Amino acid sequence: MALRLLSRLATAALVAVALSAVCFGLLDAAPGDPAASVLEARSGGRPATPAAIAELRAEMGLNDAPPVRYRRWASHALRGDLGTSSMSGRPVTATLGDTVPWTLLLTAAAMLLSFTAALAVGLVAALARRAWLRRGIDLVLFVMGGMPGFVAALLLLYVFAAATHLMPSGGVSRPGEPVTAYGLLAHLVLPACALAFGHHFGIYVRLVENGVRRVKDAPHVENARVRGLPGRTVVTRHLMRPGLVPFTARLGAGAGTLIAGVYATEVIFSWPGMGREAVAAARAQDYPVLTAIVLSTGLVVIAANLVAELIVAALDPRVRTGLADAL
Amino acid sequence: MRSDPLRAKGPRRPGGLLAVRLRPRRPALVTAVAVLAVLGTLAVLAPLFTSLDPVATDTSATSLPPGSAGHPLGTDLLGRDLWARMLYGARTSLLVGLTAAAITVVLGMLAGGLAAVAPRWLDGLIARTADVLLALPLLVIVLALAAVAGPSLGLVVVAIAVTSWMPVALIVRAELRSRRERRHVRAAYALGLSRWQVMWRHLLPGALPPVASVAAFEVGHAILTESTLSFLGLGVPPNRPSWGNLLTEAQAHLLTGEWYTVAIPAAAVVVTIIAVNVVAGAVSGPSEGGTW
Amino acid sequence: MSPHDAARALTVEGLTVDVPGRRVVHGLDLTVPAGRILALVGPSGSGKTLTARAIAGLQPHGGSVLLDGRPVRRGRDVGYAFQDASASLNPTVTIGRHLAETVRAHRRGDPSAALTRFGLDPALADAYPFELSGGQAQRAALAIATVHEPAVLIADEVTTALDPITQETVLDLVKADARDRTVLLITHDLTVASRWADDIAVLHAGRIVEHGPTARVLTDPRDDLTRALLQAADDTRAPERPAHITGGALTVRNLRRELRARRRRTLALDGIDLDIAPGEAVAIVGRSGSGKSTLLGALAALDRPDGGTVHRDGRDVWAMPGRARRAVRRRTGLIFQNPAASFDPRHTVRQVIAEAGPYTPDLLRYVGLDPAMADRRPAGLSGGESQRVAIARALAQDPDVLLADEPTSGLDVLTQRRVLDLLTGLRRDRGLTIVMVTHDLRAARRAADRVVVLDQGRAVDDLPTGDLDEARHPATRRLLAAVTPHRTPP
Repeated sequence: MALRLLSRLATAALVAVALSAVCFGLLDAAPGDPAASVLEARSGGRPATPAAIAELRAEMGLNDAPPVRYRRWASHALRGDLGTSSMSGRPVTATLGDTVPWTLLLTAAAMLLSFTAALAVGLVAALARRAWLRRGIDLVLFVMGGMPGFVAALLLLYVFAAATHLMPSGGVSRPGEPVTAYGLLAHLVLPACALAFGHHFGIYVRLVENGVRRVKDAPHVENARVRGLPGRTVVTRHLMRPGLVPFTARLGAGAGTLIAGVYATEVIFSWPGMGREAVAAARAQDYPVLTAIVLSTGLVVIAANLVAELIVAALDPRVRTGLADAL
Repeated sequence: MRSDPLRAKGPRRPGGLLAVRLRPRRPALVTAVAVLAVLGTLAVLAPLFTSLDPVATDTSATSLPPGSAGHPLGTDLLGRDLWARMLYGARTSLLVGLTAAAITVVLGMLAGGLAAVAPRWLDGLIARTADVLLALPLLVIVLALAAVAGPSLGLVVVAIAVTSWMPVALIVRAELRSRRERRHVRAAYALGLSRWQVMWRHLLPGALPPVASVAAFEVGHAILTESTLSFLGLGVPPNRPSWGNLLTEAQAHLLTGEWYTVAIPAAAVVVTIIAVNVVAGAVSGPSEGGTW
Repeated sequence: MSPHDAARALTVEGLTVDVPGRRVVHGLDLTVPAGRILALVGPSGSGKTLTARAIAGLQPHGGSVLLDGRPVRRGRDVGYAFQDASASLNPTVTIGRHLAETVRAHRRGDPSAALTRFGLDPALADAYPFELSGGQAQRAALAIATVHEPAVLIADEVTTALDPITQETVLDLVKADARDRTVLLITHDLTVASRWADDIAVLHAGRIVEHGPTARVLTDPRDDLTRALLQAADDTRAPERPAHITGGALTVRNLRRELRARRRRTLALDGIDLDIAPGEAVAIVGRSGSGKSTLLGALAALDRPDGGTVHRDGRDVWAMPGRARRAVRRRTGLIFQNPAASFDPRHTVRQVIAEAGPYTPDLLRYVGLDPAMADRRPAGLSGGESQRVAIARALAQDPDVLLADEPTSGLDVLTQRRVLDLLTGLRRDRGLTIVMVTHDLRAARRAADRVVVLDQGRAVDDLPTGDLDEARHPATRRLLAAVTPHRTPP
């Protein structure tokens, strides 16, 4: 187990390094000369002379070999210096500090919603004896499976905000008013639902449903029943525990898919998170902000994968002992 | 939980429920194929169905509702005809979806097939690379890529293919490997069949339905990704109509009451993906469904 | 309580079980006094398992099931041990947890005592089901079934998948445990019943056709089915020799093969020497894991050995070009253990056979199947039918060597007999060389001239079938002891 954990940590570290290299590559390939833009900013918009630019390039180390520059960039990044936004001139880390917490709040709420709902719906679909119930679930999932996250968001926005005014249409508080706990909750509901119930939701329901259904008639469940165990134990320990392994195994990847949805969702609901910031940065070609967001999103996903891995290992001893592949 | 712990096993339906449920019944399949055929025809023959230019503005006919004379779906704020824009948008969206999916599937099958027959180290390398790429939020990277290189049609196609070959590769690899281990494949070798005969008669026919299914799902996925990227303004260049672009432009109308400008392209996207999924589900046989 | 307390008994009256569309058990009456072992014997499909499940409350049924005159309390009074022990345990939970949850549900029992009773180290409570060997898993399953001291234990074909030595261990433990429990032993094997049961009830098409003390049933059977079962079990006719010999010769020298599975390496074959003459019938016997099947894979020119040579008719099969080796394989019929899995599930029976050679309806007729079966798919076949299709496929190859891996395991006694008759008849009529892997010495005696005993990858004994009873090697003696019926009067 310890060995496996170590190897997973090593893989995660490797992925993180690869990700940072991609980010650096993007930043490096971005059009425009950083030295020129710095000089322009210093002189208040006047174009700099080629000599001055060359001098500053040497000073900034922009003429060094890419590996050297990557190492310098990475060591700065590790110390929390990701450069300054070319749009606002603020340090990128300050922008991240303003936006990341909002995104974390939104994704955490969406994940909680998505995964608990998938669990509940999947269990109902697997165990329900009424055919119309299962058919209904199938139909809804089928339609949802064709709906990109942003279409779901637009639909929710229209139905609950534009047409009926039941819910606020965006932001985190009413214009001009401070953020309150209740107000925040009200503003959170629609974007969290939009994020949670995108096209990927059906996959998790199916994972739960198929996993539990495969175990439902397994001899070990019958054995548990014939031993006279209480119904609750049979369902939780003998049905759900082995049946949910495929579902939990996908949680990490699920977190990744879900986080990928924050861009459109945040744009549509004017949620002040890093997704909206990233889209704005991409449109304005503010590369330092953009790469910083790519990097931090990637790190969050890598961490989520690790956590999911640990949950699976706790649920399924076959993974702990490294036997899972053999089964 | 409402199940009786000592519930006796009731009579089981022959063939299993799963088979009925995951294999869409014939009418659904026929409908789906018909929908895709109609969409394809509309897209390919767009000029036959409208005489209007999808990018030509007409200041005398802005924001017309559907059903207006000469503009069956109405016009947008700049007076561009929505029907024409939908038709030419279908061209772009379907073209991008199909080419991206085709490249994705070819890439994935090559990588997966290679991994299945390659020596251990190469197999490990391909499988790990796919795992690592799957762990990254690829939409983010595509976003950054689009921002750096500027939006273009080719970039969207390449970005989708490069970031979505992994599920195809992993499925091809897993199918071929698990089939290779089966007893009946060993039996085929024991009958004196050559490697190629075994591959041709036993490995590929069995592996094909799941691969065909994932290929079809990739088409849906590609259309979905294209529309998302375009919606964010980072996919198809804004001067070229695509369903995603139409949605971007229409988004602001949602709160002002012209809901149809959003509903029409959104419905087109959803209907297309659902139809593709029906077809994908039909070729997959009784499997687990979607892979992304 | 005393073992012969007549008041304490499991009583089944007028038991009926229906499956959709038809009745499978027709009004069964049965009384088993406490402390006795009743073997419920019958061929596949006779309703044994359904009866047992009905008694345990796993199956809706008509009639009454009473324990000491009152209805059986489900979960409390009947412990049930399933045929496939490792599948009957939750793979994500330890053995100890299985025991503890049962104890908690009934507020009685002692987990470590239950493990000890079945000869397991109490430390095994920390193990997961998939970490146990087949015999250990079955004993753990029995411990779990009886930890809460139910009055009745149902052992449903608990040893079908085990080799004879492990079977002996497990059933001896069940018998020892039966001192204060009523045991219902479900089996298709009359030899098992005769050795471990006090009473035998023979079930045929959902009705009990014979019921009495073991000694009486064995010596004075009253029903035709019982007689047929006894005959099949006691069938010791030596195989007939072929009139003319067409078979191939196999020679194995110093054969070594390692199996590598997840970082673990086991030496499956450790220097085997073996000569098989044309037209000979050889049985390779041994416990599970002795390397029998690995040897068969090497003889089939299918698995390349890690050391040593395999010669077919004097030619080294691994020195010849691939094309010639495939020709050797075409002349070798290989019947797999559990043959249903060796058919491509997408093919029909006809396609399965046609892949080996030209299909003719006579092939199916020869193995005793209806040619109308040719268009069915393997998934719908019974164990005996699959075995015969596998033989038909091997025959379509027109082989000169026939290799069979456990051709009788998992089949009931009557079907076993038919399959063995088929194999011996084939050799008699066609002069084939036959090599059969089995852990069933009875099958070996019936179908082979010569027995080779494998133990931990080595051939420890090699003798004519007729001399088997005089064998001296401990591994051979152990196998013999495990299948010798003890016909002691109760």
